Amino acid sequence: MPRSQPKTESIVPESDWKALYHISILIQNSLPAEESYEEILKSIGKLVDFRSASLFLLSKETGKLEEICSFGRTVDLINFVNFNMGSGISAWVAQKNRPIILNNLRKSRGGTHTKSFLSVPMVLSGEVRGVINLAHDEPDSFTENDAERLGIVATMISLFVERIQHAGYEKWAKKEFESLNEALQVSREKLGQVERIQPGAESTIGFARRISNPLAIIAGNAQFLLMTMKNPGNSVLKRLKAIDTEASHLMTITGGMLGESDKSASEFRVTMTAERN
Amino acid sequence: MRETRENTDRLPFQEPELIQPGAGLALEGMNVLIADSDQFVGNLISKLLTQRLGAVTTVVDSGRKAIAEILTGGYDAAVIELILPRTSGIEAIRAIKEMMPDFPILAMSGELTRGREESVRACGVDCLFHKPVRISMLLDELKNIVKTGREKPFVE
Repeated sequence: MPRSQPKTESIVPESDWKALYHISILIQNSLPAEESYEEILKSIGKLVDFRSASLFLLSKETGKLEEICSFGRTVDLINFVNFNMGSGISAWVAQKNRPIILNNLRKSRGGTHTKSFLSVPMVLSGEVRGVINLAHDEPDSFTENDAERLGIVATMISLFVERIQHAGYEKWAKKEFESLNEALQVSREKLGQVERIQPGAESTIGFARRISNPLAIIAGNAQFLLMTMKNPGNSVLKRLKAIDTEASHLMTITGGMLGESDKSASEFRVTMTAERN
Repeated sequence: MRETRENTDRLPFQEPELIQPGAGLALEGMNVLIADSDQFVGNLISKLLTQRLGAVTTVVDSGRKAIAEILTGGYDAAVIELILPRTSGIEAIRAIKEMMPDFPILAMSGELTRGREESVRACGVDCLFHKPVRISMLLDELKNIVKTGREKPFVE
């Protein structure tokens, strides 16, 4: 006797599976950008009938809920009440991590006609990431099934949010890498310049130093002879003066060379220190 | 007793001797939230509702806690003092009635100005009492408002 197979009945109607499939495809194919949120919110209409929808995400900086996108008017209740995670009933839903259905709302003083309200938390890896709220103008519009189905979509949207955040991080990391690379390139170029300057600077300094002493001796001796020689001939006097003048001229040139080399070396030191800082 | 004399001034009731087990237990098994910043008064009302009406009570001391508790969906009615810290009793009543217009709320206050009374009535409160309250009236009103409407949110 063949063993009977256990009956597996789906509690979700086929139309719901189809709607969930379509929403899932839309979420998968959407660009990881905030502009996609409205289209995704709108697609929830395939699964749950509503008039307006709002998406709130928990800010990592403030720890409070922030409205990210709305389809129709903003959907939230009792905005004048503050809870730990922000104001309004969305903050309570996020705090308690539980959905809520209110199907008999009083017409608000602001003139909105919301009569039914459904709010579900968006949970990923056990953490609340945000809240999705739906509103309807008719009373008794939402059921427990709607809350369950919206809960499934909320998880899908949480994954999409994660994707957007990841894309944002990737963009930031790429930009940061580019700017670091640019800075590295500039540093390399400067280092190359310095490497080119340094040997030149060293040879200039060495040359100047090497000839400055003999020059000083030549000039000093010429001046000594000029001062001490008795009755030198005009021709000798003229030549000694020429030696003194030219030696002084050369000393001025070598002095200038030493000064320039020192300047280049100190400029290099200043640039490198600034870059390190 | 000195403490009792001091506390007598804070009593929210005209006939405190009536707080004793009584017949009827009209609210037996029902959950009633009491919001009062004065712990002594809150506990006294709790004792009255528990012993005279058989209700199960929870006492909170702020309007925000009252809203948060009622949203959990486990309550049949609330008794709210108008002067509460952070979110006031009036704001709490306004918030609860905006979300659940038929949820029974009995408000009370020792400082009931005309403006405050108008604000509370505009919120749609079911019953409003000046303190000190006549216990028999409070119990009757509570029994009435709980009978007329019960509304709970669906919370998973």
